[in-house]
Amino acid sequence: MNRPCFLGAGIATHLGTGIAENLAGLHGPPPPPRYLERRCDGRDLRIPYKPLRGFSAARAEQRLLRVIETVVDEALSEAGLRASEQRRMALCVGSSSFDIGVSESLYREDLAEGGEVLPLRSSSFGNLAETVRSRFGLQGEDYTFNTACTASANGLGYAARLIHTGSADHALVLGVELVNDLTALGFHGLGLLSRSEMKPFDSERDGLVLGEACSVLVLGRGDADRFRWRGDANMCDTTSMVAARADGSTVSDVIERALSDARLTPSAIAAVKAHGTATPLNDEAEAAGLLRTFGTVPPVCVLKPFIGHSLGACGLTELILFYRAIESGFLIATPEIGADPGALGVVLNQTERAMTRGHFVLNSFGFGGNNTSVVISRN
Amino acid sequence: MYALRIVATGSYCHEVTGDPPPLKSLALAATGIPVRRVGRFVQLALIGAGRCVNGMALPSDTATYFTSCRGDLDTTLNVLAQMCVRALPPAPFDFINTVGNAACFHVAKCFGLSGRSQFVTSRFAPLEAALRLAALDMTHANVKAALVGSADMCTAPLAAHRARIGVGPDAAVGEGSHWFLLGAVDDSRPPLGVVRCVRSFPDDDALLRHLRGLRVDRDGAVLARGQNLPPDRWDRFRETTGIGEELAYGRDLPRYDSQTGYGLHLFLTASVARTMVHLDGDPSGRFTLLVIEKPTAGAHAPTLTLPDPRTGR
Repeated sequence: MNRPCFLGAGIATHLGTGIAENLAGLHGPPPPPRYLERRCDGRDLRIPYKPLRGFSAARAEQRLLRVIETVVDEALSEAGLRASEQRRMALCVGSSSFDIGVSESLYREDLAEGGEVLPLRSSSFGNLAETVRSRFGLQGEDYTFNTACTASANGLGYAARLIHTGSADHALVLGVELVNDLTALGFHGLGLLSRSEMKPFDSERDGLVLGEACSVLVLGRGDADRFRWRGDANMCDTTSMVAARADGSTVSDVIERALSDARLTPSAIAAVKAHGTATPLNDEAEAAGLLRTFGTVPPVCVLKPFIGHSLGACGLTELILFYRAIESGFLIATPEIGADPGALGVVLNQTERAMTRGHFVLNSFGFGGNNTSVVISRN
Repeated sequence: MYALRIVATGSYCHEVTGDPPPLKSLALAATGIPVRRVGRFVQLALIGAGRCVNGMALPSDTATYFTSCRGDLDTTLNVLAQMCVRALPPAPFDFINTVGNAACFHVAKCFGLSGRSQFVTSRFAPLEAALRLAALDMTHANVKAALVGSADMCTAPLAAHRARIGVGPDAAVGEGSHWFLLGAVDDSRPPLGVVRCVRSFPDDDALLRHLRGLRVDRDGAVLARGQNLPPDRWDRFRETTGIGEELAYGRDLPRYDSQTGYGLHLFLTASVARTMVHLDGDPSGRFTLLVIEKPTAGAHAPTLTLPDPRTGR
């Protein structure tokens, strides 16, 4: 049976809203971050982040719904499913923070009003999926993933597997991560944030920049020219809650299992989309893992300098940017970021190179030792 | 239809009437390992998982599928208060533990596992979602053994907790952790049961069609009602299955999400019935079906102690 293919996509990131705006943004240099200003612990903090463009500040709940509706509409429009197909399709949602920003706003409003306060009114991980199902009339099975920065990549893998095994004809995968203080202050507290720009695999890397993103992919069966999911793997690295094993062995394990699932050898891979968090330890582990698996590493690109780290949404968001760039003829480049092999021994792709098809590995790694590699192909 | 062997089960549930009780010593007793820097939610997960594994050495590539409707409420409430009331950043370990799969990490570390690790849920059928993905991976992705579990916790004050989970001011509330070990782990002992079917249906017509074709020994079967099944559908579903006996596990339970695991554990360890047909639903008219079968009628004696939901013992 043919592997599930990508029928339609929608996206909103710091580069813009919609596939076209995002692809256009990938041709230029990564845009500079904005700054969240927060007063915390008696200090004024400036936290770099890359917000969505085109969605003005509204009440958190309204903004979340508007973002999701816009992106789902784009993907469904492109997929062109019949109403009966849409009703039956499965839904997989991946996020780190879901609607916690909405809970924060409501809690602060309650506190300001001084009446009865009930923090965390919306406390179920599954509420976002229920909202999407209700808004778009989806009656298929639904799954919500909360595996930190691998959440939407894991959602994609299971959506593909549901279709591949005949359990579903179509599936909609949603990755979403919008600004909230829990995430911003949490990463600040961990000391993982950059002071300025995100430079994965670079000798000057000093941490990550948070980014907002919402992305949607509709999967199903389709013609041979489309991009398709080819295989994946997910493993748990119990070395540390926040970092992969530095020797790259667990990163290498998950990439090799994904290749095995895809029935491919490392030499068949045309390019890699690295996770690339620009934190000292994680880039070290990922670089070591790539060298272990590939020996001579194929071209490597990263997306986070453009859109920031969108956490639970990054797996799907970066996959969509990656495959749409290849479909339109180029492998993404990050000039002057990761340009020298340095101590890591991995160089990022420095100039856009022509590429329209092939087999590709896309990595996502998350807190809790959650490591996921996905293989996608266009023949 | 799947044929997944349930090799072991472990369970904990407890009614909470005041401050939720400390769980550290129970977690230590269940796992034999002191786990540091974790809160009650991870401890709750470890109690059920530890009772399920019960000292067995698991293959390192055993996968973990963990589910919860609301996750680590305690920690999330704490960090919200820390930020919104005290204007302080979340403590690093509190922040990390707000992620659902933090519990997966501790379960995997505790039992030496490096296989797939998923925190997956669905609003009205969390355990069914986890079992379904385990079934997919075990039948199509070369996963040979899986630890599948659910946990939902209670928080103080109870009045706020009741409001948050949507029950009345007098409702009994509690917390539970229910785990199942699936697959080829210890072939020398018979499985407790086999998962014959776990799937969802978009509407009642689709479920009824499936139930009409269900092949079970009606005399040796029990029908179990999930906590979210709309009451007005129950009689019609029961008539359609032709199953007279009911496993009314929800009647005596304090309210918490993901109670399906308790029903499954009860069936496997304390029911004389051979087959359990478990039905649940959601407000949008979808339904889930879970069919569990024991290997031989009447030959299976309970192997694990059933916890009393009122005391947790």
